[in-house]
Amino acid sequence: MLARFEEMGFDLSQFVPALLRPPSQTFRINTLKGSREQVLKSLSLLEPEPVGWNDLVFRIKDRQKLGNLLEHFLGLIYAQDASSTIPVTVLDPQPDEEILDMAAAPGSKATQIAAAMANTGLLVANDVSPKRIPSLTANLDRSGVLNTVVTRLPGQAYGHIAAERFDRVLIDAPCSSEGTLSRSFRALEIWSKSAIKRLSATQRNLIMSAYYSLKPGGVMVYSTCTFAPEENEGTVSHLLDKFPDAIVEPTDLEGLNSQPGFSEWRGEEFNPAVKNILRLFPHEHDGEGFCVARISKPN
Amino acid sequence: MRSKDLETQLIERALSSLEERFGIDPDYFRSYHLFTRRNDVWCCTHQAGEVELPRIVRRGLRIARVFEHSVRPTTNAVQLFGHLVKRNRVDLDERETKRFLAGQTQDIHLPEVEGGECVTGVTDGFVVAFNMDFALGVGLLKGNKLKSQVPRSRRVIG
Repeated sequence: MLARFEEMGFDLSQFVPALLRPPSQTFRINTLKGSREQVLKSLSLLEPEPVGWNDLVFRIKDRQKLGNLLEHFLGLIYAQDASSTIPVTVLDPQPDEEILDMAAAPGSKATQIAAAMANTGLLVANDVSPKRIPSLTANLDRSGVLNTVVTRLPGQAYGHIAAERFDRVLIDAPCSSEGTLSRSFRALEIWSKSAIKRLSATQRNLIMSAYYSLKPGGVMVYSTCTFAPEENEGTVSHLLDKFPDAIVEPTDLEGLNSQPGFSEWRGEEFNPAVKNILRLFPHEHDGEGFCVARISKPN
Repeated sequence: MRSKDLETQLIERALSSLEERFGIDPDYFRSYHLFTRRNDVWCCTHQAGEVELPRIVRRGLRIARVFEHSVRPTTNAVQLFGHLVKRNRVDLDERETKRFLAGQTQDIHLPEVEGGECVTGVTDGFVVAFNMDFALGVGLLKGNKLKSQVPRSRRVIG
């Protein structure tokens, strides 16, 4: 893994310690349950500081068991890593739309989408894993979500069963999770070159399905919590090969320190449009490693 | 499968009970899609209620369970609709709130009781517990004893 990181051009003396150091604790205000002002007043002792790119996401200085707070019990806040809030911020859901979250469990992004939609319209929160559905439904319940249908299907099915149905689609894909090592070493247990190859194949099917399920004029976000170019630029390039009209949009979030997507990896040249992918590195940004691409489908 | 009439009856019973016991205006829920599963009433947006997809696990939020002689709103529902509660509300201090969140039964201080009935209109049965402006969940009140109805999975211990 380290050899690959070096090959990606990371300075390991800075990158590895940052990767293993837990980022600041962050939470997102759930506007389905309370107003921003109400929650900030209630949590003033924690001295929350806004992250900058999203008005509802805040850092706290001292580590807390956020799950034991009254505000957490009430669903007023959702403990969520700063990076994990970015895909939905980039997706920019709107009220009364129809939106698909293709791999929704445990629900951090689904609840963020529902709040942005102000509990209107339709959010389909799908996950293929029966074991992960209870955590998804529990978080939807705690967050007071009314606009959601939970389904248990392989994400690959949506391209067929709901072709051109959704205004927006989020595909936060299963990945090798290299960016989450500060949280757990589980990624090390599953990590291998063959796992990356296998995951990359799954991601290519998922991104195609997501694109098929998108209405003309719709927007989708593809994200992972890994650095592997095969799982990021490689997957998005695959979509662009199949659908040359798809547009990878530039994304600029205020105050967010990010890098553009890689143009090549191990001799493979990617589609030039993948430079618009947002890459987040823990030594440059106070959060887990993440990659986010906003892709639109022409009318 | 339950007939539409039975489903409508169950929903109407739940809504009228929420109005009678808690002063919640039934019209508030008319803009949502309401449906039943067994003795539970569920609530979601119309789009979520009408969409047809394979392998749907659930739609929306469970808002109430209908018993033979009473209706109990869910913790999740009162946390969302608590601002509509006008009657049978009890206000808890910090210590009482901790016990309530832990799922305990406790003696609480209620305003002056006259002839077995609290002057603020709080009567034995299901009540909504508040801390400041926030609805915490449902409790079962008998005299001065409040039994928390917070489900095991949502309890906060410590």
